[in-house]
Amino acid sequence: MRRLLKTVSLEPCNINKYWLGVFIFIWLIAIGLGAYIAFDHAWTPGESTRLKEKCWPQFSNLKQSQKNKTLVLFVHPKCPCTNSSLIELRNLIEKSKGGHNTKIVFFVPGDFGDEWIEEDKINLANAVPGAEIVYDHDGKEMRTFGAATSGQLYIFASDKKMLYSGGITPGRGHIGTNPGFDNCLEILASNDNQYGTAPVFGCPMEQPK
Amino acid sequence: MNSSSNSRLSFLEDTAQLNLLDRRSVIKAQKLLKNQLEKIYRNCDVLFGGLLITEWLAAILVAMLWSPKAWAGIYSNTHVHVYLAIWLGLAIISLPLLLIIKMPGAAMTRHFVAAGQMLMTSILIHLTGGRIETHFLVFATLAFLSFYRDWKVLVTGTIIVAVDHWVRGAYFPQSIYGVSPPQTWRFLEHSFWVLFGDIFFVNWCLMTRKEMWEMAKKHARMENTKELIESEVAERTAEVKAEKERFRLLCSFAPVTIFEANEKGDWTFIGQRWSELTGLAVESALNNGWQNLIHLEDKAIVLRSWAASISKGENWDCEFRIRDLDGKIKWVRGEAMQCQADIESQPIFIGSLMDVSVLKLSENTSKKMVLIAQKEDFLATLSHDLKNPIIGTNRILELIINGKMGPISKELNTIMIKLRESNASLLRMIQNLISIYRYDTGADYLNFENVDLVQYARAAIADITLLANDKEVELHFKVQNVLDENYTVTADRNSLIRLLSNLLDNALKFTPSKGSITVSISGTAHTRSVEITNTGSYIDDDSRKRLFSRFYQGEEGKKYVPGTGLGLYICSQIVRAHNAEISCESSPDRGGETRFSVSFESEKKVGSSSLEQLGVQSSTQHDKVHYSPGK
Repeated sequence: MRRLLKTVSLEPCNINKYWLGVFIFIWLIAIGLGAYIAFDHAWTPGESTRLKEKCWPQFSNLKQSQKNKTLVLFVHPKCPCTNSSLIELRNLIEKSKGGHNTKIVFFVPGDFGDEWIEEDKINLANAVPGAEIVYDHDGKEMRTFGAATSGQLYIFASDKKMLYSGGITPGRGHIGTNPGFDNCLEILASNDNQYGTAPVFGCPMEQPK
Repeated sequence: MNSSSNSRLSFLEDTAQLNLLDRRSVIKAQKLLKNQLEKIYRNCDVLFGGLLITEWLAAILVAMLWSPKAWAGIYSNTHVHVYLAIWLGLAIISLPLLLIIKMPGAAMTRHFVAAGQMLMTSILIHLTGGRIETHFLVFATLAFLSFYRDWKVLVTGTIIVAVDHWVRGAYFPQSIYGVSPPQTWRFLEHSFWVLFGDIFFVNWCLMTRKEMWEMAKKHARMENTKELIESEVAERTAEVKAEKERFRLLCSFAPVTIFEANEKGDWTFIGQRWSELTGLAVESALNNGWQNLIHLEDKAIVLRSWAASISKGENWDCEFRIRDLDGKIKWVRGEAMQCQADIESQPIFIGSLMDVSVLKLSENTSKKMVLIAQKEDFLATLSHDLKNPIIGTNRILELIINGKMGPISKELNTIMIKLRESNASLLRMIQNLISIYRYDTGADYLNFENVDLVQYARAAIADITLLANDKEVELHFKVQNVLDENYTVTADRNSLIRLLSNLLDNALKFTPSKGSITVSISGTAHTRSVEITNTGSYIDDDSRKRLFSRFYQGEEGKKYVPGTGLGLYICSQIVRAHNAEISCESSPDRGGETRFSVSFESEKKVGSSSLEQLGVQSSTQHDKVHYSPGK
């Protein structure tokens, strides 16, 4: 059988071998370059929080829980990466067995109404257990919290101390295991007021100046 | 002993033939498998070409729906994913598509298709945000690749996955494992599941190949058997064709018309000779068409005999007359016999028609010849029996005329002399008839001797000198000089005398008074000739042609002298018996002149060999030979 398989060889070649080699080389370069661009885009983190003090902002209109930990996720309602962040938030809440005060803050530009927010994202947000949806008109809270990148999550202790600042996705628009998620899970499960951080992957909340 | 060794040899031959057949089958099976695989490779290439294009379009669609734009505040631009889906996707599928078009069925094409397929899978996974569901496409792709039935292609696909995971695990761990520290060996965990799938896919490929090989062998054996049968059939067909051709030739060129009739007596086939025999188309004889040509007088008998033969299954043999297309009557002999190919088949009659017209004619002629011979024998007997009484009568007349029987009156003596002359004439006639009979039938032997032609010519001239003088005809004798002055020829003395005498008598008859007869002896190296020329007579061409026929007398001859018309006929018989030549020339010039020439071969050394060449048998005497005209 093996001998037979060896005898059956099919190599019809209707192409110049030199040009084929050149083509294969260009092909490999193109794929390498494309992969690099994809990786660079997906795994280059966005700008991290601009909040200098690691505590609940003084001028925020959002209500912070005095009993439980408060989670505040800032998302850009048009950014494709928002879906990943909302999914990961839901996973996080579900895995942490709940009992937290969760707020999902959708950025709404000043000239636009609530309808600017896409329905699928509202649905994803509603799927997060116990989450409160906040429409941040003109990005007031966003600026108050210093959230520069969509997917920015803050976790505050009941005493207003900031426990976590960063993203909970492995890359732009990606879901799956990532250090930010694991860190958050640990913080929510622990009573220690340890601070953690991770890169945020998402679209900028505002046009960079 | 012989039969056992023969059977062993036959077995060995069979085994050798089987081995040969098996070897042929293996070679053919290899070819069949190769062709089948090539077909599968090409088909799969086309399938994957379509799949790659579909995946590319799907990637673009996913990018357009999932992440069409990247945002910054209220500003947006096209997402990188869209560009990646379009351009990177196009780049990935370009090489496999090129190879599918340019090198369909080639191993390289398959491997690049596998690579392209895996890369497109990774793009889709990336575009869908690394969803676990999209990862299923990796295993689906492996299943698709196994359609090639080439396990090596699965290896290529697996290597692409492993290398992707290893490189990214080592240098971009977060991109694939979502963790920062390098995961050098974690790719093994992911690759393991791909390899786990590969075990089944590779096994399936090998099993399928084996099945294909078995099928190819079966197919090859069937094809070989089919070819064998076809060659047998072709051989048998050729034989049948040859037999058919032989049959056609037999029917067309056999000197008889062959026919076939069914059990009812209807003629179902007839050979081409029928057309030659009757001038009618072959189809006209089929069924009972042949019966229309039978002569009315014979028809009833023929049909009765034919019907009897058919009903009793007996042989048919019948001679009858038919009338052909031109109305000519022909005698034919029809024969047929019943035959049966096997027990189950109906008996048929195979027969022939033979044209026996010539045989019939010959048969009639033979009967006539017998009658003529009987008549001649009768005449010969009659002549012989008449001769003796006439001779006896002549002797008595001779005695009376000579006065030995007593004195008689003058008148009575004159009458007796007339009677004697008449008897002599009658006797000559009878002797001529007897001579003719002898020469014709070869009933007598001739005594050949070497005789001097001049001497016998002189003697013959002397015999007619008195008559010539009475008729006032001049006689001349000329002898031309020949070599050694040898005028000897080999001839029967009596026949030679009769020949010369007949010719001189003939010349004298037709030479008028005051005319002349010239006898010339001449010769060449091998011949000696006698020429008898008489003046005052002319024989036209028509008469000359019939001159030597029996009982022929020309008009002139009848005028001059009554005769029997046998003289020249006897001369021709004598000449023929001597293997000599006789000719006649006649010219109307100077009142007419006729010349008879007889040319003998000059003296032969009388011996057996030379004379036997001419049908002459040597006698015991030195210079005598016997000649038998019959030989």
